[in-house]
Amino acid sequence: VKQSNSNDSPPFNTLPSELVRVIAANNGVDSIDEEAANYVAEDVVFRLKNLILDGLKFMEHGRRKKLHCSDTDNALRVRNMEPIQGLMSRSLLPFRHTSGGGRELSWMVADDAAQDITELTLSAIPKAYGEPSFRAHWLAIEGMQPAVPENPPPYSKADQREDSVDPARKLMQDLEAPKKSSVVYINKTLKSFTVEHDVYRQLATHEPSVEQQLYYKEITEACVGSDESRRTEALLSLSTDPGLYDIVPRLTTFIAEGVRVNVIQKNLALLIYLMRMVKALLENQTLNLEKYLHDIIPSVATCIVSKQLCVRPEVDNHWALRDFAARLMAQVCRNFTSSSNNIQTRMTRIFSKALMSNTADDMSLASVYGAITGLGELGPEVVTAFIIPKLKYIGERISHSSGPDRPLGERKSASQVKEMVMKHVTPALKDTWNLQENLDKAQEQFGEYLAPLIIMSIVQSKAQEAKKVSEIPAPQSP
Amino acid sequence: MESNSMKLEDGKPQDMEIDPIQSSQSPYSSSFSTMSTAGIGFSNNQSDTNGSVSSPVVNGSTGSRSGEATKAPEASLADKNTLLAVLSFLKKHNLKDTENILKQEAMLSEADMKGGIPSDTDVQSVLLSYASDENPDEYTDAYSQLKTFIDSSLDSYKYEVGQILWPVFVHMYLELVYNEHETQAQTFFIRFSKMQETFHEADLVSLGSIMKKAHLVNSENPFRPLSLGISSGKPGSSSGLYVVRMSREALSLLKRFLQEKRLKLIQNIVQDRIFVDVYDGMPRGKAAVQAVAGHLMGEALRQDNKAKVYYGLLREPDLQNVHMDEDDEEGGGESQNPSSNPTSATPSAQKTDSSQSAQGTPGASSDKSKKKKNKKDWLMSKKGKNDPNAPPINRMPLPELRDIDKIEKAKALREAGKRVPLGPERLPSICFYTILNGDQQVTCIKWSEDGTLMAVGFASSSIKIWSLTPTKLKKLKGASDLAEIERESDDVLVRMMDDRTAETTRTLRGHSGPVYSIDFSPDNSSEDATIRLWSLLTWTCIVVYKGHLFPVWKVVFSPHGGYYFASAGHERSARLWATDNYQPLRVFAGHFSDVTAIIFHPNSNYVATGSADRSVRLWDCVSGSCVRLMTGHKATVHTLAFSNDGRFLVSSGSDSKILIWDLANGGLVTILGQHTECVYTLAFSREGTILASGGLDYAIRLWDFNKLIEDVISEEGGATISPDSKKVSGDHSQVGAYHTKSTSVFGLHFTRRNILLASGPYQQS
Repeated sequence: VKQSNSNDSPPFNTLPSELVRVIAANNGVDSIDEEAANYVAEDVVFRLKNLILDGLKFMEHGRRKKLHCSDTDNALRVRNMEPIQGLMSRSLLPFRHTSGGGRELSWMVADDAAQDITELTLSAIPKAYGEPSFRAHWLAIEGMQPAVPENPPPYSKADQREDSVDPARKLMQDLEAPKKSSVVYINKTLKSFTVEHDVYRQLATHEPSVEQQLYYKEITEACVGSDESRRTEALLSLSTDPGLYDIVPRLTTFIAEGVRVNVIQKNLALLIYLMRMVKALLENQTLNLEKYLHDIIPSVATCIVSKQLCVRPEVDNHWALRDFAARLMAQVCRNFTSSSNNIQTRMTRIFSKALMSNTADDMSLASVYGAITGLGELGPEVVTAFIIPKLKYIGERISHSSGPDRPLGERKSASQVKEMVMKHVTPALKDTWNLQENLDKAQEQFGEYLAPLIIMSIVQSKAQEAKKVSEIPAPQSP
Repeated sequence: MESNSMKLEDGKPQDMEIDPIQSSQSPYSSSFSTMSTAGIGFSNNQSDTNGSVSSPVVNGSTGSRSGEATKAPEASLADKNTLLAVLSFLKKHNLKDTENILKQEAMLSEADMKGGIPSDTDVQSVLLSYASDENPDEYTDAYSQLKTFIDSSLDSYKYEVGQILWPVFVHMYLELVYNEHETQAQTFFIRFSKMQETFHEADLVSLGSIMKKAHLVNSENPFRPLSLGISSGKPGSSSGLYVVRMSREALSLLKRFLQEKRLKLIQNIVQDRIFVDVYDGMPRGKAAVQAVAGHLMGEALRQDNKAKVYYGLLREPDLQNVHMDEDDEEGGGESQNPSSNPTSATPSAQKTDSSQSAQGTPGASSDKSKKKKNKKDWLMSKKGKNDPNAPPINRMPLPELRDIDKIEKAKALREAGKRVPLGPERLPSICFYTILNGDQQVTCIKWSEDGTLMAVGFASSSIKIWSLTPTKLKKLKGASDLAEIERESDDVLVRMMDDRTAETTRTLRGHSGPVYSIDFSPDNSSEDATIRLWSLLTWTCIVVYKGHLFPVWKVVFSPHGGYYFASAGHERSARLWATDNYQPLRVFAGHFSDVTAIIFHPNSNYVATGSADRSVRLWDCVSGSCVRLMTGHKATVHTLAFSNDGRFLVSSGSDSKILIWDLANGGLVTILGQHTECVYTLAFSREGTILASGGLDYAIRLWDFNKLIEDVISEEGGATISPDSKKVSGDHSQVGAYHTKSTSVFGLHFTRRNILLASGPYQQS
């Protein structure tokens, strides 16, 4: 245990003399006066510091960035001292800051949790450390770095973000370091100087390499094909492959086009597959999709609020697709919303509009459902702000549609919407709604149809919570 | 003023630390006729059995800069020191009678006793000079006055005068501590430590650990060399003093200021503890001063780098008379009589030769008879050297090339014909060997010269060797089996090996601590303070060299025949060894901290070392003296590389900067600062155009070396940084940067065909 006193300047910390006395007492020396203890403490600090400085040398020569216990052991051995036994640790000891003793001291304490020995013996033996081996790959071929999984992605995520924030950056780089390509460009302009429209650089079309084309073909086929195992494989590749940067625009275009076509054809299965592709791309740690949101967001939004996504809405489970897409949308909002693109604001606006869709046909209930799940996934604040004020209206629509004279499909839709409302509204209202309020106020706020249902659901969830709390045993006094 | 400039007049050696091992031994004038049979294992190849080695006659006196004339007194001085050491031992253990007898026998006077080896009491007496009865509160005031003066002085002098801020700070602090003004010392430290240059950060940590007078006297004091450095009153002695180079104007400015303000405190320090190397000319600017700052003991003196260095290459031996069995159509061309083309010396000349002379006069039988004579011719022809900077061939006794070496050289030459010439327009292919399961374990990686074997040293004290070609690693047969093999048969070398033991990887175990360095003609060093020589035929340890007392950080073989090797260790010295001797031939002492990097010059006459005292030194293997001292690194130097022409030295280390030095005058050529973490390895492409570097920042960077040195190469005097240069940087010459996926780069090696091999352990997150 080592003390670092934050009030003092770092180079002159010493161990507290109490510590010296405690250690002395442990070793049978009872009376040690303050001055001696202080002297010992200072000398110990001097030696410790030198030891650590020496240990750092061993760390540097071990080519590591972290000091290990073995380094200080080696430093001790160099001084002809017994190394500390039993303190072998492969990694850094976990130190943490705590405060205590009434004073504002920050202590660094090794977090040494007590371990149950029987548990330890019964638990599985940890995996043996593998024998060192090596694996060869081309880091560069004649100066070019090939895009293989062993190499880092050609465009780091930070670069991609920079690119999407500042498109002029690349231009600046070209200007700063004129390369061969720009030399060619200048020559071209000189040649065709008389033809004015040629002076402007044409938009370059990017030709993917043959491998990339093959990959694109394979992936897209597998993703929308019928073989489920291949699809899983393809989605795994999309979510982990570091070298996708080049073909991401093509993939997003594929998704956008696919959604457009399949919404018209009402092909539910394909829409689900396409959404799973979006999910895989969002999961890929090496990609920054900010540049391609213009393709992704409309597609995902379509899958949430579209009036009809399948041929037989009364039978097919298009609700699941809406829920899935809503979760994707929430993820996009979380990851990419900023004060400049206002993604979340724009999405809530779209959903609110869908919620209020006034056409009386039964299909629009599906849109209402999508809007509610879309808003619901964005969090309780959004629910409080956008769904709760409209509960009255939603209740009216549900009650209208679930009348016994309505067709079966419409009644089913109504019950789905009801369920979804309960799912999102209950947690949002649970803490704010006072159960003592009478039913009239609730009816006034939530409408006649939904008010009793909501109150009941809140009561139920509170009861459940209370039960849960009582199940947890009370903390024992030490 | 006078006293300072006087110090310049005659230079006393700075590195006079006599090693007790050296001085107690008789000079190493032993001569070795042949190497023992163990010599088979020394060379990486399946070698011939009678490798004879010329007899190197080397003298034992080390650390002497003065050369032949002073050798005799030097030796007696060494003897005396040994005696004094024994005497002090006797004294310590209270063996009075023995002490007196020894004194009488050795006829040592009391006066002699005084100048003995510094013992702890001597240290105390030296430190006594710190004693002063000055008011401790004046220190802070004086230092801040000095600081304000420097900050407000003209830009042209500011940076030169500013150099004294650090040593004055250190000495004032130590003086305060010595006189037991601890609280004042702490306030002084806290107030001014933040004003020091950033690269002194590590020093500040160790300086801050000294809080008591007792710490100062303690032998573990990291500032011992500095605190012991005091001008002995004798003019000219600069040993152990912090060196500051200053133009005459800057110095007079400083002196005037100190006199006007009557800052006696600082005046004393400047007079006694700082050696000012005065020069005439323009004061240097910020960039020029900063480029060479960083050494623990200040800048190099000009006289440190005055000695002539033969940085040229030795003549490549003629390989024309090597009979190539396995390759007749080419071998025929190469077995031409050398006397017909005595001038073909450089490799390029040979290349054209061997390709043009397809109509040579081969014939195995006549060739054999000629061989002896040819060898003589070869020795004779060495005298006519064509590189004016090359050392005489007999300056350093080198082992004669054995036939097996010649065949190997010829092979290399043929491979060289097939290699791709590299340049900024044509970058190498990099093959990366990622070491798995080696995170935090791998300490060093090395390839054999031909790139067929890769050796990796581990912290767990084992060494693993992998064969990178389909050729398996086989073991030599047992002695009884070997006796049955007919020696004259053609395939004796193949038959010697036991096929049953063929493996692609082998592990060498024997060390008892982390292995910090390996070099092929296989050899390695370790934390357990030993160097072990391993045979790659029997896969066992042959020799354990135990000269070092502390961990050995680096070991390296001489490029000539795997006979000499050098090691660098924790005890602040580097050693030169020969494989057939248990004792080091030379001890290079002079660094003020651990010697952390070492490398042989391509002509084997010199050894370059890098140290944790942030300097790079070049040592003459023949005289054992330090011939170049190069300062400029801001942290420990970890790796060194010589350019292919032998003139430039490249160094890098913990400060992640790569520095290029011109050996002609020890001047700094340029600084490459693109790496972000410690650099552990450097490599030159086979024709020397591309420099590759790699380290902990998961990247390999390639540099256009010709562009870096194009301005310097034509200059006669060597590289100098003009005093008014704005920035010293060669970053524009980076031609490639290749990042790995969290794999540090610990080793780089260009194969004979110029493919860059790189390796490092993968770091699990």
